[in-house]
Amino acid sequence: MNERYEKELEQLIEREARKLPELRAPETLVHRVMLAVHAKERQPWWQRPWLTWPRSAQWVSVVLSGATVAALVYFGAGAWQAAGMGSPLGKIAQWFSSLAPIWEWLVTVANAIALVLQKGAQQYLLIALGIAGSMYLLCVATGTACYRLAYNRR
Amino acid sequence: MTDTEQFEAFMKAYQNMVFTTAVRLLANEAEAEDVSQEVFLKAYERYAELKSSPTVGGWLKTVTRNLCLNHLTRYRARWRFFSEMAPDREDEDSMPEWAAPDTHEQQVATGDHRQLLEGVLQKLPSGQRVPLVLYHFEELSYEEIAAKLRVSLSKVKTDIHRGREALRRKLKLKLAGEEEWGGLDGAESPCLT
Repeated sequence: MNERYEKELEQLIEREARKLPELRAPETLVHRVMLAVHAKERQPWWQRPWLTWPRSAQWVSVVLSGATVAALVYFGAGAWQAAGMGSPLGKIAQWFSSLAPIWEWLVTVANAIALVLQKGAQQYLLIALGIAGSMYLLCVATGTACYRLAYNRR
Repeated sequence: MTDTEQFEAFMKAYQNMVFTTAVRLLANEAEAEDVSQEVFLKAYERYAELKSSPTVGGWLKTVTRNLCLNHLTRYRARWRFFSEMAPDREDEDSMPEWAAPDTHEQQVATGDHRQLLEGVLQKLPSGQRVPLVLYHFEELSYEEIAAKLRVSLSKVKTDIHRGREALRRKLKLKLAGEEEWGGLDGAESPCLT
């Protein structure tokens, strides 16, 4: 019975939907779009999104970008070694190894917090979460009341 | 005819369709106009491909739909909680304008009903209106709607059912076998299984 009711309701709304004609777009729409189109057309190609550049310009830019990156890596590494600073990769590894104590400290602090929570602070944590939840609900209720008051809702 | 003139003619041919889809999904004419502009600017970027495509109407509808759903997600999520709790407005102002009006007699006969239907549709909460429009006007299946809106299939069905019921009640529409349901005007419908 419910399925039959649902089917009939669906067909009824479908018939009503079919009766609705298209709405008329505002007169300003064409004007707005054409203004934006003309503004785009006035832009030189290199100021437009890269995907809309001419194909040849896209290829040239890819080749130039690749060559620039390769030159930077090649000459940068050469300059680094010429300055007597050793291997750049070794230097980077050294920087990261200097950060190891900070990482170890963070892991120790996290472990300590986890231990404290496991041992005895669970009930305090639950109380804190309860207070935070209540305050959140209070904010939502106040916001809802203000919204309804401001917009004169029932 | 230059490309720009051709595009203008193309736009005039499709602007009502795009705008209608956007208004029905967003229920706001100003936002629908903004989205329509965005759709046509995207179409302009691909106009070389689109002008000869037989599926251009479908492409425009899909882009409009996606932009509207993005718009709803981006700008309205923060207000959804409040707006869906708010009761429906009963005022009937700011009704949309119609394209291609019929003869005067036909317009008098059917215009009020259409206007009422469009108005009621626009006043449905977005949680009911969007899936309802996607199903009945955009011809998407329940599964496609659920995937698009990233909600469960049962929620889509429930929301569409509620939207249909709201339309039926507000438009005082009668089902073919109304007597069998026990005269549902103003009463609750049978529960969905």
